[in-house]
Amino acid sequence: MKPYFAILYDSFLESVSSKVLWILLIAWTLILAAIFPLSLSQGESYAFNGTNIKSPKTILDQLAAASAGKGTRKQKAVFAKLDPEFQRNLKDRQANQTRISVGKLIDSLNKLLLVKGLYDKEVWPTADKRSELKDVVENENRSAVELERLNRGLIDLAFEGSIESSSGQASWVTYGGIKLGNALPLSINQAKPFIETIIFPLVMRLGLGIGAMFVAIIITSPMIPDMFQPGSLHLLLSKPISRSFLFLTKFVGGCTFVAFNIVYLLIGLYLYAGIRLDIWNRGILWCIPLFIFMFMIFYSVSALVGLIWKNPIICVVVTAMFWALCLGVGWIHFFFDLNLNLQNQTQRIYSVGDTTMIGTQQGRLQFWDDESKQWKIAFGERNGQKILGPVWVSNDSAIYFGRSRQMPFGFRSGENTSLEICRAPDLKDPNDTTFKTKIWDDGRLDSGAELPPESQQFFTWKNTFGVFAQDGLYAYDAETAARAEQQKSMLGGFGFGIAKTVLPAYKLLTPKNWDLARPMDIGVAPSMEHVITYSRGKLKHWTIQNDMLEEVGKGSLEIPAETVAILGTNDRTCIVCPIGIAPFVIDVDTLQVRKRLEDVGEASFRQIKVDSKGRFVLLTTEGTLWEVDADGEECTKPSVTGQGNALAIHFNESDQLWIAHSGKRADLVDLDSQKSLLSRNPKLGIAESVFAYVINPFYQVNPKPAAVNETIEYVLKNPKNKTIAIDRNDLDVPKVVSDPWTPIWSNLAFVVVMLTVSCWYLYRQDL
Amino acid sequence: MQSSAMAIEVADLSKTYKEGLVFRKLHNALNDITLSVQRGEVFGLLGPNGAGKTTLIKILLGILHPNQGTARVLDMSAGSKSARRKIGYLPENLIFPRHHTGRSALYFYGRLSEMSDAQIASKERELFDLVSLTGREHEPVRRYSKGMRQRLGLAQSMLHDPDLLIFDEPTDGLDPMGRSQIRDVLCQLKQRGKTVFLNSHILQEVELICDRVAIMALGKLRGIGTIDELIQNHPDASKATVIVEVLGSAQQVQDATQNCVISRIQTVQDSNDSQSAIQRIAVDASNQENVDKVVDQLRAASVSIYRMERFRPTLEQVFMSIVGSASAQPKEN
Repeated sequence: MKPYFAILYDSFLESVSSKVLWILLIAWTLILAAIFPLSLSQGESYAFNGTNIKSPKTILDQLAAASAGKGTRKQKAVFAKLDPEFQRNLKDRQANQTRISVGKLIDSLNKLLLVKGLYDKEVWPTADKRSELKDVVENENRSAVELERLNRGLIDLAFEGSIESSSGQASWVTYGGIKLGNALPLSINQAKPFIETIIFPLVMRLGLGIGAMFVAIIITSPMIPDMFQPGSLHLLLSKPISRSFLFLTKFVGGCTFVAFNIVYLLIGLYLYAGIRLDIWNRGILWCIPLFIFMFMIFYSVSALVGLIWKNPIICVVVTAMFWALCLGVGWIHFFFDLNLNLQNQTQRIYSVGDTTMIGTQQGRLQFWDDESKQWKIAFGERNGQKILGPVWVSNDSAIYFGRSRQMPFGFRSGENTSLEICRAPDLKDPNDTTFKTKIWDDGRLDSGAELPPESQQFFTWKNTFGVFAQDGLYAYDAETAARAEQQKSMLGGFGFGIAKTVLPAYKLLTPKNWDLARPMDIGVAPSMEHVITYSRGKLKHWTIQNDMLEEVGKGSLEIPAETVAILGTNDRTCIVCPIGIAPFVIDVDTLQVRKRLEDVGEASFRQIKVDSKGRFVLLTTEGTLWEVDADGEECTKPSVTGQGNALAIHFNESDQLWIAHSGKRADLVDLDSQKSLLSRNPKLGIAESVFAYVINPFYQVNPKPAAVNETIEYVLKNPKNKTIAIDRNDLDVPKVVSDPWTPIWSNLAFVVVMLTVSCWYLYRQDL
Repeated sequence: MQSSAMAIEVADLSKTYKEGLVFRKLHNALNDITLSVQRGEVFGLLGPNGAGKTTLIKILLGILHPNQGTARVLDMSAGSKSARRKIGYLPENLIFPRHHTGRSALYFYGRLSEMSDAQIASKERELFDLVSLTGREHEPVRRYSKGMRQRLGLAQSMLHDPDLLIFDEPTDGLDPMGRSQIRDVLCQLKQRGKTVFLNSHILQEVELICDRVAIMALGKLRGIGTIDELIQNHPDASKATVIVEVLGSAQQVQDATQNCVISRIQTVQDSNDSQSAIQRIAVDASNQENVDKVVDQLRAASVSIYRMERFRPTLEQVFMSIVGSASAQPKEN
């Protein structure tokens, strides 16, 4: 092997003596030096933003009323200190119903945070008794941050229920110590998973995966053609070395040149992330071999072209064309995959008698048609809204569901959520032809009363259904809703412009001082005797007293307050599953932690269902199902259809479990016997068939250098950040079925083929 | 197994190039070449440009694959790794990578020849002395003159002490001083008993160094043998003539040789002084009596004989004759 090491060493010497290497190293150094001052700093900020204004409409209404001298004293005091222009806007709104944007409201409230003299003991008599305000109320010489905290607290009190309180935790992006832009409503610890999961992969994908890779291809393109200069090649070939090994060694030499640059740059980035952001992510170092491998894919093409045409320009052009081809095929695949698989993926499953329905990621409610063996779209999405529910209410013989625009990571859309009511299609009734002949469209829906603000979940509740909203739990009152509808028609008939909800169609079940803040979740026992809520690491136990829920117990978990968790409960046991942490088994009566489900590991969960006997089934975001007995003592992984690929679960009336899995499939299983009782396996449509039998096989065969980015994202992702969520809704993202290492194997096969062809070509060629 | 006495054995070797991507044309670079080179021999391969000399060398080194025939080097298949281990090669228009110094280049090619650094170190001084590069070995090769690069090329070819040295146009493009230095190195190799296969179209150096010579033209072997054999085989060699140069006027010479058989009289140097003029007489030497008679009569007429030699064709004449006749033949494709 001595001659080949000599060639490799010579390639290294050549690189070291080349100006290109030094120019690149200087460029990388400048880039690292430029980003080095970029950092995050943590501090206190009580500024308002889109996520902590729960009901901007209510606030605007109340402020507008205050402008006319109505409303509470607190609201009037707040109005009095607003800037004059906004005051005029509010007066206009009160008089002419003119619209004011939420952004403007936030800006004005943020300006108010820095205004002195808002506090008035008579207006806010209880402020000095509140632990979070006491010190700043008493302190006359308040700092700017303390003033902000005080004013924020006062405004929160003025608009209770419409504003989510702020912990004051905030972080800023800084450059050389100078704050850039507004405060991020996240602590640095909360921001880190986003940086590791979103920012790092983006930088790697765009900066290194595209930018640096293209530079590398251009720079290395002459290496193989240069080898063919007759005066040097013939001398090399006269030595006792094999042509193939000579080529491969030159290939490795090119890769070594690029590797040298990648190592330098990525170690620099690793140190930057560690020193400046306190993120010591070893994944960055793992990216070194992955980027070298990605370069090898392109370079194997460039090298073969160099052998054939011996021209660096042709090498670059053909490699760029190869890149474009791969990208094109990748995009086509992604487009079909997104539309047919990801958006169409089941997010929830529900059954009523023989009727099975699913809600998709795209916001479609679909019913199973056994005749055509298809999921029929019952109600299409409206601007990509997400389905809440559905819930079957037998008294009304109706299916209720909601549609809301859910924004990721706690952002609010500002749109109201509407309730939709439909009847279950009677598939056995020969006269019910609508479903069989035509996809139901939205015109066949009865629109119900507007849902409470920030409605998050529907659940079965007594003879109706319940709504879990930001400011409490509500029960739908069909009679009131009907009266409201009637009144609406009457008033509408007289030509009055009226709001959608005239009478409250939802009865508040929880007290008005409900102070749950996100992240939060709710668990309702199948008996409906017990309700457990989770909010920012704290648990509350509610029971029914006089048709209202009353808090009967409190507890807390030793987890960071910002941890997102879901829970399920029966009458004795509650299971709380915080993301990335082994689930807690909680005693319902005492809210004390009874044990941890260590067998499950540090998983993240998307759904928990409880059957009528209190048995739990937990579904992880990875698609794994866990069965836990009613006392939370035994935890097993059932061998049922869909295990590992499950997307949604639901217990039917007979305590049999519907498991939606593998895209659009669903199976009804008996957990005791672990047998599938019924299967919903939809036939492929034309588009699905084209994807399954044409596009996907072609994509699989086609080299996929860009797919290495998926592996890079995987290694960059801290195992603790497998699921990143700020809100419970963030757990409902589509499950992407892919093995991060598949691109390595498929691309490795491509590289081997290309190098083999190159060696064969070189062996056969007269030089 | 007894090793063959032949360093190179080539039999019925043919090579055809395909030219053009769409309308492919065939070009016969070598056509049924058969030759052999003995161990310890300095063998010259002569031929005009395009004769097929470099093609033959590339086949011997395994750089090209022959279409037909066999080639063996040092009793091994030509182009095999084991054969290449024992060959030192100096290519035409040698280019060294620009980042090398003379010394690092020597080490690089030494390592490619499977030598250890210690082995290279033990020979580098001697080689740099031999090729007169001592003191310049640490300079980058990009600053070397062409002659220096060629000498460095010679040094690398000898580094691993090969049994066979193949030099392709080693003095091409060099000034007389450079050629002389290369020739000196070749002479030393000859003295050491190395087998040298020299491809050149500079006839004088071939004539000076080579034991045997092959002449190629248009892909065919046109002649092979020692230089004497090639000359003897030349048609002019049978035309026996003795050239006599005498001091005297043309009239004196004509008078003195009236009864002799002479081809021509040519004035080489004219002068008013008859004793200073030189005349060249071509005497038919097929009959020795005629030569004696001319000498006797010239002396009897008191004409001084200045120089006298028997005529023999030069290698250049032989080469031109062979190549010229080959060019006159219709081209074979």
